[in-house]
Amino acid sequence: MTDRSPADFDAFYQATSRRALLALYAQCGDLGDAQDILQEAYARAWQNWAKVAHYDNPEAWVHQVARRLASNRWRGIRRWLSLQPRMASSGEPAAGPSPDRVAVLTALQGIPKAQRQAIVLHYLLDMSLSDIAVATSTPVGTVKARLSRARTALAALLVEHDPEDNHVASRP
Amino acid sequence: MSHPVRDKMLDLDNDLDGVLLPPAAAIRAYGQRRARRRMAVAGVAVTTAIVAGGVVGAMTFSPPRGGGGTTYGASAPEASCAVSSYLLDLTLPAPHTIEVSVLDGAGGAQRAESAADQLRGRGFEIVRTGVASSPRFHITETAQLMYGPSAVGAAQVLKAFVDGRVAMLFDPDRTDRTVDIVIGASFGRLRTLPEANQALAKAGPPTAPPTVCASRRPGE
Repeated sequence: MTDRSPADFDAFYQATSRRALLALYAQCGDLGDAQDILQEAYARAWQNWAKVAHYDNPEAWVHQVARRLASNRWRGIRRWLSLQPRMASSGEPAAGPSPDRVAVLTALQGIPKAQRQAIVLHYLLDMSLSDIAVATSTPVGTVKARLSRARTALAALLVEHDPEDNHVASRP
Repeated sequence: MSHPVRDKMLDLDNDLDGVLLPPAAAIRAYGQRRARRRMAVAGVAVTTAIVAGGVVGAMTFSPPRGGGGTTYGASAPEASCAVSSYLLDLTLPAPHTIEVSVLDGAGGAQRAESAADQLRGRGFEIVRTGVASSPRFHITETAQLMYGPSAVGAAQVLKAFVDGRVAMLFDPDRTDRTVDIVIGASFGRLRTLPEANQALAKAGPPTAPPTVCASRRPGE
């Protein structure tokens, strides 16, 4: 076995996993699914830690792996099947997401996948346009267009869901 | 106000507050099982190829047994898989009985020092200051707390003093009573005692962390 340090990996996992989970959650819209993919991605990072640890940005590697796992729907179905017993046994923690966040999740699921990915990478992982372009092997112009479309679509969807706008008191 | 869409997306982070990620050790164990399973598959493929080549007696290779489940934590869901398998300390201790180790998570040990001074001023006992084990990895929250079963209440008290987003990282394998706090870049000032008390009252009594399946028995 090659020389690799668990402490280093543990620090990496602790520092980056929550951010990765947030991005995955926004991307797949399901917390259980996101947790599952997260574990899988970090397990793979540990499997290849001797190599990954020396990358400039190991975090980006994990995100990339997680994205591929998330977009593999066939694997998704298997994941879903293996998830069922757990869902049944363990009561999901706490109350569900607030209505406001449900609106965000629904809105995110309502836009095309490529746009969703762009806006998640940009807003939640703070990646620059050029970084996103490299990570998704897409031209910068395309990323820019996707981002702006996603922003417009989400803004429209979120306003529609906002009850405040629908309750304008009419004068008698 | 920055961008409303961005704010709403970042708001999703609140949904993750109750979520407990499996400890890093569990992730490593799963990665190892995964690696072994792949080796086993490769071994079987090689064996098949050799047999197909007509060489008899190549069956000495016995594939090692990989871990059963495909998903960590999903392999053996049972009723006993609950928090009760740890000895949890859920009392809310006074700050002066809480041992805190202050680590910097955003580059530069002087940040940890200043945070430690503030914590000392609130009565916490600082056992160590330093830089989080790997300065390459910066945290995005205001602070991260890492603690074991015997410091659940203590961690909640400490959390009440931090003004901002705090990630709570429960590690079932820890045996000490110390709470580690990793200071993020957005860490400013600590809350005053009345503010902290208010936050504590709002949070309610500490609850057992939702947790992953544990093989450890209490008292071991």
